[in-house]
Amino acid sequence: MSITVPNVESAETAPRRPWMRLWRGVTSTSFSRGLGIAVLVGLAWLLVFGLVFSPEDEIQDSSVRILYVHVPTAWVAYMAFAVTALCSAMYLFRKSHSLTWDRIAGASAEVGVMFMGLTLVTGALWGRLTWGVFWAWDARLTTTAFLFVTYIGYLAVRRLGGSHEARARRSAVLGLLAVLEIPLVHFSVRLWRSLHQEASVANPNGDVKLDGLMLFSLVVGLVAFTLLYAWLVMHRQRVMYLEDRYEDVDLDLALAERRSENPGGSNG
Amino acid sequence: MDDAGFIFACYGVTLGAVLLYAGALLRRARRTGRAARTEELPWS
Repeated sequence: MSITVPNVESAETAPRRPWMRLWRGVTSTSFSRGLGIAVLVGLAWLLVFGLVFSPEDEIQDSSVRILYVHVPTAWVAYMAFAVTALCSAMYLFRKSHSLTWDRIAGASAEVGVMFMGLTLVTGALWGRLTWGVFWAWDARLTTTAFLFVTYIGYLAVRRLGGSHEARARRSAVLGLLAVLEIPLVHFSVRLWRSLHQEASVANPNGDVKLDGLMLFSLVVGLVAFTLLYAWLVMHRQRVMYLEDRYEDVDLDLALAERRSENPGGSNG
Repeated sequence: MDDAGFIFACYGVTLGAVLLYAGALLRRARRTGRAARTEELPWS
């Protein structure tokens, strides 16, 4: 879908230097800039703690360092898909049917798909070190791949065309159905025999099976990636707003053009 | 550090993907926002 954007940049709003254009972008606010700085600090902490300060695991050796990225990406993907479902429900069941809910749902799903893809890649690297293979048709891995494909389908459905309202309605229904896969993925390690380990922190017994510094590194990763998710979704839904707006302007222009070609009003 | 290649690949792929996506998002924002006036943006 192509969107025609008039090539207009006023002298007042156009910063001269490229880094200034990124810093003072049209989707930025002082809050998003502050959040962006917090994300950069969090990621720097993750690199330092994950790669330097964290001790090696007795059994997994240094491959435990991969888990400081793998677990947060999986957490963010789950959260993103849950937010998609929540916003889909808000769109469908609230009287206002605000398209803002639909845009947040779409933005969250897109960011979630990226993080789910990263979960699969980082999991494959960890699997190669721990199990000796990049991939196995294990219950957790297979259901995760299925979840990933489902949300790629969700994003494809969003791009099918039609009015913004039609897009919002059909993707909201799909968003509510797709989220039902998350419990299946999460509990797959308990429902079936699985190579994948059960949760080391958020397990039903409540006992945390991690050394203090390892746990801290993991928490740093979780916080940094959650903030990153918020920053990405904030900007993505604002870009969606601008794209929707230009689509409407394009449509209005096309209709006006058509009317001026045929002022009599006959459709023949 | 054992298995350093795998570990750096993991961090590199993750941060690389995030940076690429964020960069593409900001470029797209700049392109779509060129003609927008500040008062038209609900978040400004």
